[in-house]
Amino acid sequence: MKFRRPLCGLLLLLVFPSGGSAVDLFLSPRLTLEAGYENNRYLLPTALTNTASSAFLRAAPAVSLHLLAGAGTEVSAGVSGAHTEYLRSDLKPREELMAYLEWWQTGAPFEGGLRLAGGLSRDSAIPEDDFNWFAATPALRYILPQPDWQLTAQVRLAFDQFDTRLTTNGVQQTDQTLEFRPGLRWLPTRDAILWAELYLEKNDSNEDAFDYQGFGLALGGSLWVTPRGQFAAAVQAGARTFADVTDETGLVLQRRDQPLRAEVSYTYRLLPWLDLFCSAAWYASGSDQSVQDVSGWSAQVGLTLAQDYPLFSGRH
Amino acid sequence: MKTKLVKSWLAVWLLTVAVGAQTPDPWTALQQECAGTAGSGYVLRLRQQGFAIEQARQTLTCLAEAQRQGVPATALTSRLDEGLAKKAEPQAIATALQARLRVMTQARGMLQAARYDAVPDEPRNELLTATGLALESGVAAEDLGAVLKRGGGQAALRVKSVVEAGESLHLAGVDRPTTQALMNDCLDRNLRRMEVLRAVRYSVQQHRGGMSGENIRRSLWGGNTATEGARGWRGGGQAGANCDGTSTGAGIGWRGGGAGASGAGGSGGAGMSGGGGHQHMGGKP
Repeated sequence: MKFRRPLCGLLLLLVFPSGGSAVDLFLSPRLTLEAGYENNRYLLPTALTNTASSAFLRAAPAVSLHLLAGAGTEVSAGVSGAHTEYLRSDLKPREELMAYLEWWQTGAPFEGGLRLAGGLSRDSAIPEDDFNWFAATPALRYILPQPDWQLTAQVRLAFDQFDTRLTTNGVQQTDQTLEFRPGLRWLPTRDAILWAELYLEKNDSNEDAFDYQGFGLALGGSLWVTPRGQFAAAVQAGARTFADVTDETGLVLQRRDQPLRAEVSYTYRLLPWLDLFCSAAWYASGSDQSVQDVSGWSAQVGLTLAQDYPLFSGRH
Repeated sequence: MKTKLVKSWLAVWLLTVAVGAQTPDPWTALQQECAGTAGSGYVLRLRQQGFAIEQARQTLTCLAEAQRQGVPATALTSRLDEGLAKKAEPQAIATALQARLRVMTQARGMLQAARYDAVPDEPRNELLTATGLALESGVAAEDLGAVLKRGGGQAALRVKSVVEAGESLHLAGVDRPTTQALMNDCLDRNLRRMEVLRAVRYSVQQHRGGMSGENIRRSLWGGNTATEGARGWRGGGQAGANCDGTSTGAGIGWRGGGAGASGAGGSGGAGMSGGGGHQHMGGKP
């Protein structure tokens, strides 16, 4: 066994006792800058039906560590943030921050991993919507004997804690969401992928009005138009049924939503450290309760600067 | 008569001593010959390792020749160090060095043919060494030459990563067409070093698992395995759940994983208005 830095090597040996042939550690800083236009942005705090459209600028720095070990293990950890500023002076900025730790093991026929992530979302326009979150996401992929077909499954267990949203009992609202997404991927050529996923979701909240169950279908695909340019598109449609709520007058309120969304994007890698992209997204959610009807869209162009710095390389 | 004989012997002895005092020890002479070259630090080590003077001279001549031809000395000294550490036979070390010099010279010619002369010394030497080592490992010279030409005489370090990738694939037993195609893919797609490394690891792993070259390439590029690594997370397609807002740039990603829950927006991209979409989408009404 030969390591350039004995202590680091020992640590990695402890982490990966099963060995493998090589260990490489990279530091990857990344900065995404984008400009776009967003429709139906909330205009004023507490006036949720009052929306406006505006151009926006977003900066999203991130840094991550990637440990590639053995035959197919990758462990990553990182932090990222994003700040969105709107050009209309009466629209408020938005910030997000997150950290994650994930492990992924490639293989044949199974691949899988676990991702743990947490963060916070702060929206100056809707302070009652600010929340902290934590999510655990195990995922599994099975490569079928006909290897251009793959079965996938992903579970997501998330915990959200709102900062300033009080329930009717006068405590801060907390939600737990469980989502299961089985799917199928098809790789018809080496430049294309088509996929389909079902999803089942359930949200338990300490505020009854936010309890819901849902299901839906997502379809998408991507195509390498050139070796450096990839087009991707996805649509998702579903239904959500909320718990019945009785209002002060004794009236039972029922709510069923039909969320829809669609996205397209094109990314081009101009240089190894520079990706250019443009994208557009649309969403709508119809509801039995018309006040809950929402829709909007956004379109943006941007660039991502990324670099990978090797910190350590060892073979054993 | 006897006195005359003694005097003669004495004269011969004195002459021998005098000549001996003027003729340096051959090792000392060799040390002087190697002064200022990469071999100077090796004379004493070779002597201590039991090399005969001629074997040492033959070995160090290789280093001098490398220097003369513009081949980075480290490409040969690393081989020499390896042989000395393994206490290999002097002749075996000399043979190995000559073989290394041959491939390095060949690699230097290939770099010249592919117009890498304008590249700064350090990255060019790294590419030269990688190319020489790949030749030594048995990668076909035509394939390496094609990759060097495809690199266009620029970005030597990126081409070096690809050459090393080709060597790793070759040593892992991946067939020649697939190795060549994967090397080209890595260059054509502008992959960074970590992504190239991911591609190699994945390809070798799937090759050992019995997957064909064509399917390896499908899985690599169609599934974005090389570029996204562990972030190729989503259970299904790209949109499936770029969970927790890790969308990178324009990658399609439902912020907040699927149904709009807990999306922190992450770093840019095509998400549904980032974390703000949270309310819009009805995920957290």
